[in-house]
Order: sequence, then C-alpha cells, then structure tokens
Amino acid sequence: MHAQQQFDAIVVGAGPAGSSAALVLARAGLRVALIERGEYPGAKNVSGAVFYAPGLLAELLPSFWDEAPFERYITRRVLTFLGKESAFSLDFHTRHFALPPYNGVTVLRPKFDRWLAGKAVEAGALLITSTVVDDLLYEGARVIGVQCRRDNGALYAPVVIAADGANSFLAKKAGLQREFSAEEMSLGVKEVLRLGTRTIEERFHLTGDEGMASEYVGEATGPIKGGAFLYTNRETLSLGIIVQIASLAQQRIRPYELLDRFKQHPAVAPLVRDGLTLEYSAHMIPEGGWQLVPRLARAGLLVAGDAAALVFAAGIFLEGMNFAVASGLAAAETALEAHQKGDFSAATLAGYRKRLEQSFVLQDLQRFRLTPAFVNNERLQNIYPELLCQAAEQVFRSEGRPRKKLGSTILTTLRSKVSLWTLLRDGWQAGRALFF
Amino acid sequence: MRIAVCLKQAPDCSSVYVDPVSGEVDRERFVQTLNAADACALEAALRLKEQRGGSLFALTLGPDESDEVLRVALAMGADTVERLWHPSAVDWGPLTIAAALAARLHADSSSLPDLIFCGEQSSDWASGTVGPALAAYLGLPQITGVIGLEALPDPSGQLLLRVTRRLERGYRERLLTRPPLLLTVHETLNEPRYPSLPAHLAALQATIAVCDPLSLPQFAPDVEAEEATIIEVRIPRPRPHRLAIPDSQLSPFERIGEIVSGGTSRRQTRLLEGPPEELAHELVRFLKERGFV
Ligand SMILES: Cc1cc2nc3c(=O)[nH]c(=O)nc-3n(C[C@H](O)[C@H](O)[C@H](O)COP(=O)(O)OP(=O)(O)OC[C@H]3O[C@@H](n4cnc5c(N)ncnc54)[C@H](O)[C@@H]3O)c2cc1C
Repeated sequence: MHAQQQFDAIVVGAGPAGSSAALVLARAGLRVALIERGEYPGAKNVSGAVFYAPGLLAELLPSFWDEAPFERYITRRVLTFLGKESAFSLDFHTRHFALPPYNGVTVLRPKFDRWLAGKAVEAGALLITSTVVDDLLYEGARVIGVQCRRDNGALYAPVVIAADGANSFLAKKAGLQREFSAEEMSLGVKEVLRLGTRTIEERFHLTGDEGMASEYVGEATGPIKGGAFLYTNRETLSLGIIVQIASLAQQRIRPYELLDRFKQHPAVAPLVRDGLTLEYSAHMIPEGGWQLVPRLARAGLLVAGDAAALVFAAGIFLEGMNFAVASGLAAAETALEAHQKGDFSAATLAGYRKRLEQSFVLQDLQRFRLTPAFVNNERLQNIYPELLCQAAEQVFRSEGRPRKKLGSTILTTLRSKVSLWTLLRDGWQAGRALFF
Repeated sequence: MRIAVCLKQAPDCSSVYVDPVSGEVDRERFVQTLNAADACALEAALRLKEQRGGSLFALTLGPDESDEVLRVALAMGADTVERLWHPSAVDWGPLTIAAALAARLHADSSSLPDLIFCGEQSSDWASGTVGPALAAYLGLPQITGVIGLEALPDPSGQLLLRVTRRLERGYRERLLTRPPLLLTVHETLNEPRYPSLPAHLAALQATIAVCDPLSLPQFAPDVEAEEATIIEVRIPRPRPHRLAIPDSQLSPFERIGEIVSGGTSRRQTRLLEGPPEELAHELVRFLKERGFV
C-alpha cells in the first residue's frame, strides 16, 4: 500500500455534514481525505435552502459572518394553508432574528458548500473531487477504507465518516441502514427564479438583507402528500415542492407538473411573476424522522447527516443542513477521541450516538417522533387547509344579512367535512405531535 | 521528443447563464474547468508521448485558480507544468498572451519543443487566436482545427503525422507533416482520459511552479498593440424571415407560382468582363453601392 493512500480519516461527501467533519479533523492535525463525487462541492447538492442555527458554524469559524456566502437572514416566517382558490396565512416578522447569530440564513448550496469545503481545505484537509466512492473496504468486521471509482482506487484510514447524503449507499452497504419504504422518503423539486433585488424587496416587504421563509400546505401539492416552500435569496427566489414518494407513485403525477401547478396557484402566481428560471433540481429527503435513524456506527465507520436520515422534517420545520453540520461535528469529535485512544472499535465509536443524544439532533428527532405520521395525515394534507380557508371566507363574508357568531360559523364549516369526533382526535394528535 | 501543450482554464459552458435581456453573464455561477478543446490537446500530446517516448510540458497563463488545469495535466500524465501570471495580465488580449507563452517556450536553454499543442478555441471568447499567434511568434508552421491525428510509421525513424483538419461547410483536409510544428486541436479530437486515483492524489498535492512573464527576457507586453478592441457583446437575434409578397397584378396562378418558388424577383447575376484593374474598380463600386464597404 502506498503511503499516499493512507490517511488518518476519510470523509465521504463534501456536503455540510462532510465538510464540517473534515474541518474539525484537519484542524486537529489529522491527515484527512474529503472525497466528493461532484466536480466541486455543492455542484449537485439541493436544499431550499434556509440554513438554520448558523451559529453552529460561526462558533467554529470566527470569520463566518463576514465571509460565508449567505443570501439573506430570515426575519419573516410565513405558513400558508392553500385552498383551491384561497389562502390563509400566518405571517410572523421579528427584528430579533436580524442580529448575529441569526436564526436562519438563506444560502445557495453550490456557493455555500464550495465555501465550507474550502474552509476544510484551508485547515489542511485534502479535497478529492470528481471521485465517486463505490464501496467500503474491510478487515474482518472493521472498516479500513474506501474503494473509489478510479484505477487503483483504494484509500485507507482507521476511521471513515460516511456523509454521502440521502439514501446513503455506504450506510446500506455497511448494513447499518435498512431499505426505506416509500412513505419514508420524499422528493424535493426545486427551482431558482431570478427576480432582481428590488423586486424581491418590494414584493416580500423586505429591507436590506432581511429575508423570508414561507411554507405552504394543502392545495400546494394537490392530492399528493407534501408541501411547498418559497425562500428569498438576494436577487433570486428558491421555491419548490416536497412530496412523499409513495403518494407520488400512487397518484401518478409528475413532480414538475406539481411544481408548475403550485406556481400557478392564485396566491403564488403574483409572487413569482416574471421570474426567470435559473436552476432546476431534484433531490431525495429522508423524512421518516426518528424511525428512520439507522445504527450510526460500527468499527471504523460513522454515518452523519442525511446519510443517517438526520433530518428534522415536521410540517412547518424542514431542517437538514444544521442537523448535518451538528452530526458532522459530533462524528469528527468521536473520531478524534478514537485517535487519541488508538481504538476504533464499535464500542469507542458508540460515543457518537451519545454525543448526538445530548445535542438537539437526536433530542428533537425523538421528541417529534410522532410528527411525520401526523403531518402525512390525509385530512391535514387535503381537507383542513381548504376548510380553514372556507371558514375564513365565512368570517370575512359580508352579505347584507345577519351574521352568526364566529365560533359557530367556523365549527359549522369544519363539521361539514369531518365529524366532531375526527376533529377532536386530529386535534389531540396535533397536540401530541407538536405541542405537548 | 519534447512536447509542450498550452492550456487554459475556461468556464464550463453548462454553467454559464446569460441574462437574455441585459446580455450580461452571471460570473458567480461559472464553474471553471480545463477548456474542452485544451483537454483534447493534452490527451493527443499524451498519446504521442506514450507512443514515441519523450517528455510533456504543460503551460498555462492565468491567476491562482488556474493551478487546477495544471493539476489535471499532471494527473493525466504531464511531466512538468508551469503557470505564468502577473496581475496586469487580466487586461492582456490573445496576442500578448501568445507573446508571453512564446517567451516562456524560448526561455528554455535547449531549443523549442518538437511539437506544441493548443486547443483551437476556448469556451469563453473563442477568438481562436492564441495558437496561431504563438506559432507566428515562434516561427513555427501550424495546423489549425485538428480533428484527426495519427503517427505513421516512417522508415527514417522520424515522426510523420497524418493530420485531418476541419474546414468550413463540412470539408476536411488531410495533411502529412513532420515536426517542428504547432497544432490547434478541436474538442472532438478524442476522449480525454480519467486519471487513476494515485495520479489524481499526487497531482492534487503537487506544488505548481509559477513564473512572472514580465521577468522573461524575450517578452515586453505591448497592450496597445492588440489590434482588436471589443466594442460590444450581444446575443445575436435570429435573422428575420423575409416574406415574399407576390405582385398583386399577377394572375392567381402566377402568384401561387411565385409563392411556392420562394420569391417575387429573380436572383440577379451580372457577369463582368475586362482587364483586371477595371474589374477591381467595378467590384469596389458594387460593394460600396450595396453598403458592404
Ligand atoms: C428541495 C429540498 C429543500 C430542502 N430545504 C432545506 C432547508 O431549507 N433547510 C435545511 O436545513 N435543509 C433543507 N433540506 C435538507 C438538506 O438539503 C439536507 O438535509 C442536507 O443537505 C444534508 O447534508 P449532508 O451533508 O448530509 O448531505 P448532502 O448535502 O446531500 O451531501 C452529500 C454529499 O456527498 C456526495 N456523495 C454522495 N455519494 C457519494 C459517493 N458515493 N462518493 C462521493 N461523494 C458522494 C454528494 O455529491 C454530496 O456532495 C432540503 C432538501 C431538499 C431536497
């Protein structure tokens, strides 16, 4: 074996999880290989993307706020229930999210991922692009390296961090992850539309670098289970739909048709008017939540980010990048500890899970473990948003006739489609999933 | 045999977005790679080197990021690489760049390389000038637009090349030639190789030699000398389709005839005869009359 092909740690995938891990490992003085199949990091990576809790990285990179290529910080969050021809929104704005450490910032993944990987390289990691990892290499039950799709493609290290994204090939090959069901995977289809800075600021009531993150449920995806999003970048909009694969297959609708339909909804069309499509992309998202989290380690191997299904997708929340970063950092710390001990056994690497249990990563996933099922509830997806809009319409309707009190107006509308009993039960489930 | 190849980092066309209204190019979205035609030049040079033995020197002129193209060259099999750069070079046109490359190739103590390869055009400005200008500066014969290249067995043991050139309108030209020579290569010549992992790793970690072209004895940039000035860049509009309107005086039958034959007036030709000078005068008059000059 060439000395050149021996590293102290190998990280597969230069997304937020992999680059954060490589950064920490390289800073500690390890020889790290960061392997990425794209021409450059982020070339094919897809997110909305709002990077929540960016303070995670700012702690590690003091120059973060001056240097990181983020577009806008989110001060406005909107949740919209779409009926067929109406929309009911909760619109929240706060100046408290307008100061570092911001609560969330929009990023364009090709730029952001490249920048973050660059930080790992500055710290001393060797970034190996245009190189696909095909398999893991073993010695007995222990992972000792990876096999790349190039001639003489073996690379060796006592610890490998698989950060190869959703539907991780490596986690499955290592027997850590089971096959998914189509209910647990979603497909995100996304466009970047160019509108120009002025138009964005005027259309979305933003000043300076403020930004908006807007989520949609209901008619957004027609009869398909899922939702839609619309985020503001500096001069572009990112918008897309995220739909459950099982439901998509069942209804036989093409995802881009859904995206078009969303863009034509009367509440959305004026927001995207005259937008020029710059990018179109699609990517899978593991949305199974807690149930889908695999075994996270075995001797010589740790799994981080989407590869370990560490995505917090709970209706109004879609957070994956911050989970990826936090898990990448935890994986790196565990690998460092293993190096100190000179022990890469499953027992030492099990410290990774403990770290995640102490952080928001596994705590949030566990706490909100009922949410995915609740969010995919048929009524929540397809009936309540419409009913809510109808109820609002009744409340605001002025017909020159005597009105009923609002409570009974709303209740009558709701009960026109679902029984009181179902309503109560869904209310209880909503509470269990999100509130208490 | 010594071979040199001149490379350039250029935007990957699939990453280039041109605003259809302003005609502006969104530079932030560029992905810079080794220019496609240059990659073919490199591959062709490598194949010759492997067949005939010798050494391959890869040269580029560009800022720090251009190291990447030299790393590709190293990974694919170049023996030595060097990058020329000076901050003032951002303003250099193709002729000055060619002069700098020529000065660098002259600077080697031994003679010029036997063969020099360049890409025919780059994906950004596609001036197609650097290769030919370099040949001129070096006083070498050149063959442009190479789409086929073969080393033929030659009893004398010297290298004999059979070169296919791409001409306009689908014409091809086949030539036999011997070095020394400069070739500019079209991006369809070959399929550049995908380096092995060890070669890729070694290239990623190699130190790239950098040379300030202003320090080269035979080089004095004369930016004023660039005879081409870019006045405007725009996206060509599709040519308007002219509709022939038939003469309303004609009978319907004749009008239909005119429509299907594609015009209302016959193509006019004029045949001139006479002494060459008169003909030249006549030609100039004709061109002026039609607004061509
Ligand atoms: C449409 C959409 C919208 C989203 N919106 C948001 C949002 O607004 N906010 C948010 O926080 N999250 C969002 N997410 C989720 C977020 O994108 C992911 O959770 C996050 O990217 C996970 O990061 P990662 O580093 O684990 O994986 P990835 O970002 O997927 O990175 C994996 C990397 O590994 C590389 N790779 C994969 N396989 C191999 C291999 N075999 N060999 C070499 N390299 C390999 C890939 O090229 C890639 O660079 C969204 C996702 C989608 C699809």
